[in-house]
Amino acid sequence: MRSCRHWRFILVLGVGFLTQFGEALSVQAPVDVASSTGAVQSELTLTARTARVKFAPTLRADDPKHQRLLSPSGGDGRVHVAQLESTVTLTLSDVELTVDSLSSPGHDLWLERTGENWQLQLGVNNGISEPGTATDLSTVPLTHSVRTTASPTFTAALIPTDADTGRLLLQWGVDQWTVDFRFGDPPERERRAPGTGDSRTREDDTSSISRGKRLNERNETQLVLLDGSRLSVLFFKELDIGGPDFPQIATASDGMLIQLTAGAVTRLKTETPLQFGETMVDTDNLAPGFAGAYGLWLKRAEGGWRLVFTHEPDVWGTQHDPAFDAAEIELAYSHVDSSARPFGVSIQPTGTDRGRLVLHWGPHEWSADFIAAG
Amino acid sequence: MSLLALAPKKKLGRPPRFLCCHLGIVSGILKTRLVVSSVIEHKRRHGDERAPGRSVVRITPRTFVIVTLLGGCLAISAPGVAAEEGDVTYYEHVLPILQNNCQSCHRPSGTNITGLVAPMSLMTYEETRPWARSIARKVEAREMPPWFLSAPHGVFSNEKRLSNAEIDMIVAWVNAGAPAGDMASGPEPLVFPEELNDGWTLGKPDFVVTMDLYTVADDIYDLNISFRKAIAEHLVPEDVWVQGWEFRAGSNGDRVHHFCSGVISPGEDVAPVVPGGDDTDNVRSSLGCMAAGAESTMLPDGFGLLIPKGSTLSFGMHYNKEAGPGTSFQNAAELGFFVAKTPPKHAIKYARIANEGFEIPPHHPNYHVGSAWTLKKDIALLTLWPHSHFRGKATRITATYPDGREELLLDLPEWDQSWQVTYKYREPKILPMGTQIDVHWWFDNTVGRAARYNLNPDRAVGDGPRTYDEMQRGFFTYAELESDAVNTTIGQ
Repeated sequence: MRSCRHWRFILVLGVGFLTQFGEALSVQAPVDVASSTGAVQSELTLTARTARVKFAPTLRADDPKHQRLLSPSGGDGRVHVAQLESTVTLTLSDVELTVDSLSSPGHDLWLERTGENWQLQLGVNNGISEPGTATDLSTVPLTHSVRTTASPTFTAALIPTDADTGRLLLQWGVDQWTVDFRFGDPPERERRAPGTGDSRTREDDTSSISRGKRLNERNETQLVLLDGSRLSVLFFKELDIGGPDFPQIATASDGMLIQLTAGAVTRLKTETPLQFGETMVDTDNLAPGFAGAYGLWLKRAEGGWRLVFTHEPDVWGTQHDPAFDAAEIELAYSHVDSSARPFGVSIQPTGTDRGRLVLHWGPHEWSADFIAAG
Repeated sequence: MSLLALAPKKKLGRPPRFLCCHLGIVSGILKTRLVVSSVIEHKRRHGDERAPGRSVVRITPRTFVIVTLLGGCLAISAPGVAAEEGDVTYYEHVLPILQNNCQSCHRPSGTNITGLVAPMSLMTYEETRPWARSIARKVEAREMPPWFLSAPHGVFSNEKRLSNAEIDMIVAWVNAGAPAGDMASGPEPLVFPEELNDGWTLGKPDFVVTMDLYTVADDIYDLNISFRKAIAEHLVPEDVWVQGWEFRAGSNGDRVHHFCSGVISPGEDVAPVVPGGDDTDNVRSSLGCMAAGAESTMLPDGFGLLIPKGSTLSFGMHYNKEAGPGTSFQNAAELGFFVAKTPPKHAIKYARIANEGFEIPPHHPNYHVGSAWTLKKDIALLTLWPHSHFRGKATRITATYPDGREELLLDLPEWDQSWQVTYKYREPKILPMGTQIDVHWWFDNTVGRAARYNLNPDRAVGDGPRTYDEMQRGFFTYAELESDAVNTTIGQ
């Protein structure tokens, strides 16, 4: 029953979003909306609390009507960019958004510029798409930076940064904005009084129970592409930099794989084939007609780093068996800051059919770009 | 009148001494043979040389010569053992084997292990004779007695496993027409502890806690439900150390899929959490579980579990039956406790090594799911209980020591969820801090398996509470040790 409600929720969410988002965009970009087929969705689940940001990939950076907003020499303007939902309270910067306001269809997000200052304006989605007329408006400052590479269209992603916190990353052209957020406390877990049972039939769908158990011990990042294909990565919680496994990053010798003694292997599931450079990561690797599922292993190689995909996505983080290796790709590595982030993964959209797989642990960050080749 | 009743009483005897000597040689050869066959079996079953049973033995030319020579010796001496069919009789040769290995389950009392009743009694010649050929087939195939480990051998106190010589003896007896022989040459009938102790297999418990009677309604198919029962003050008037305990499923126990329990100390906040939660998941002081094939627990001397005064017991019940009119039944499970005669040196703990995030793909024939635990302290390991459901196919548990050495703790190449055996060490297994215990499971989600158990192989399967869902578990009873004690033991 729980499962049915869940799927109904998703269905309603999807329909509601398409309706509402279409309306919201109609003011800003009516031409694009006409050709829009849906939305791209970035989702982050930390300790069974989920936030998702959805955007239609129709906001082109080279669109003349956005030149004033994105001008390097400063400007002003405002554009509706995305929608934000969450299953619990979210605090963006110092603005707390209630769970009621964040449940579908959630908050509309407007990117706003006044001179050199950037901010995100949030309004409860009530069918009124102009912030000036929406209710419950909030504004949070954005940190802005300029990148060397450009995103031709607007993208948004949710990135884990700690056990309860994440970062909303917005990219458009060469511009990039971020704001940190914090999940509120999870709802009190339902308790079953002694003497009350939990009865099921053989036919009951228990997949929501399995998912609940999965998310008891792991966090998850997901990307839903325009065609509805879903990519997800499950990564174990609480792999902190003070734990026993983190020092391997510094000491790993050539050819060595990073072992996770306190968690299962990082698990990728993809409903569409992914092309990383010349390397194809297919679906159906475990069963015909079934999403591709792979274990992901960080490997030190030739002074750099590589990512090994294996056909055993459900072994422990110390149980790599090279006989089941499926593919290996090169990773870009960067030492970002003095961050103390626990191990985490994000799948960041970079276009309608592509994205970037990013793994991070403390100050270390590894990434690889992919194209959905389905 | 039964022929047995006429038989002169005789103590249970050991096999003749010459037989013991030959059994020693046989077992030496057998060990090699079995290990090799284990490797071959696993390659066949899993299509994977890294599956359970690997890396144990390689046949070198030297080994071959030794085996051949020993085989020659055996061939010369074997006829004196039991191979001559005409000499083999029920009373003298077969009954001792049945008493040692079969009768604990194959008897009519129905109070045997966890309330399970084996389908036929093998207590007398008259009861055994009609099943003779079936018995021979079962023991030759090593389906009976039910001991599923291919390795290791000789380390678990509850090992039920016939030697090759014993199997040959039974086969020779059947081939000879299953003669009774001279009743006077056989041992006395066995008397089982539960026949003297109101059904308790370890003796009469010092105190028993029974859950309140519960009615499982007609419309229930599969039910997870937890109960609490405060331990009455007159049973535990002060803190008490127990050395053993025994689960009894109680009335209609055949519809209890499993039954887990734990001790909840006064003031401890434990509440079962749904969905799919099991009460014992949250109990710090677990007593483990009872399921088909499981046995009662008696810890070695020096080990115990503290039950504080005022404690409550949890009864995490999993009932499973067909739903429908007239299927309702009542149940009141029991736990019997045996108080430690002297305060134990080591308090036991219960660990669950599990992977709950897996997803077994549809139609996968051999899906590997692993979990592991790295020890933060030196421990004495007492028991292992690998656990999965219908799709579980094989399991292996290993220990990798801090110096890199790997030791096989348990290899079960053909899992049968009907036999949830807890493997009990004869001597506590000492594992130093830093040792990694790996629990491997292989699952079969194919049409063939599905047909056997009425499963749906078209669905991916994850962790869930029903018998038709799956689990990947290894349960361990252990005690943390002082490092000095470990060093002493290892040094010895």
